[in-house]
Amino acid sequence: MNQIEFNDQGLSWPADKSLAELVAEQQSNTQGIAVVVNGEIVPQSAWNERCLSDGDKVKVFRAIAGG
Amino acid sequence: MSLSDQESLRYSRHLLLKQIGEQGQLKLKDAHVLVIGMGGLGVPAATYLVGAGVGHLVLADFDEIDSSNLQRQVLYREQDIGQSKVLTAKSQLEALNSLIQIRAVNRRMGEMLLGMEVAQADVVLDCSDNLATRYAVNQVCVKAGKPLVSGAAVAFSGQLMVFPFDRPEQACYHCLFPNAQEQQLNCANAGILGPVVGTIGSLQALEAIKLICGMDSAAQGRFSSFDAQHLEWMHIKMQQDPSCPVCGQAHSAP
Repeated sequence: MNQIEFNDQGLSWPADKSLAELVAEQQSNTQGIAVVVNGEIVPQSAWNERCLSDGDKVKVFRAIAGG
Repeated sequence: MSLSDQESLRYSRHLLLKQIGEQGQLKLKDAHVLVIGMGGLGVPAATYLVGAGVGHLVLADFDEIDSSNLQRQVLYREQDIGQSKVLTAKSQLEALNSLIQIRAVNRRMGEMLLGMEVAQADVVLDCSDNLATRYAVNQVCVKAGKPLVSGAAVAFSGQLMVFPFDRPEQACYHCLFPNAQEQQLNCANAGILGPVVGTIGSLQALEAIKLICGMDSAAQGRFSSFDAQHLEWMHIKMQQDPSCPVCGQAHSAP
């Protein structure tokens, strides 16, 4: 298990599970979100292949439309 | 081309800035900017652009002024309730600066009209309040290669995205948020504080001025998220998604 951060909260996460699985597990609604790992956006098309290393910091931003 | 005496006096505080100066002021005078949405973002953005002497401004909205708009859309007056936003804004902004041209598009823009307006613009500001418009504006700006300054705000959150689509290999709004759905949160159901949306709208004007004057900005190609409650910013470099159907290789492939 790797120790990672998801939205500033510590989390144990298996090394062989993908970012897509993390997002699906942690976010009840995955519509309109941008996922940032260590300060860099990971495009949604790459979530499946992306695994997480010890110390990775994952942050989710949701689109807002108001104006 | 040079500035008139009247313009030199009026914009004297810009002329003192070495990043702008007379050359920059002439670029502003020559610039065409399209502002889509004249609500809480569009009002401060357009007001600062008019003040700055942007020569040709197009304001697009189809909405009318409601009393609930007045806590943040500070260009409008109580007597304007029920009136068209763009026509009221045009009249107010013409009183602020008579040296520039302002045109109002007081209707919902379809793809064709949007395409025509974007084609005439040097910079586009997305100050809209819904995702369908955001995706449509993004797509047209990608296609036309026009820089897009996109802002959004709700409750205590703001977002600013600067897409310099006049340069190659830029991420677009669809790369950032590929599957956002009509939503979620908006000002009508989640609330909004005036200075929060005012901050983002002001920054949209700032980034538009930088683009017009050819100034570099760290905001270009970046997604910035503003937490107004804790006064914190997060800045993230955007990444083009090669499989993006709007701007990626899939789009440009024959």
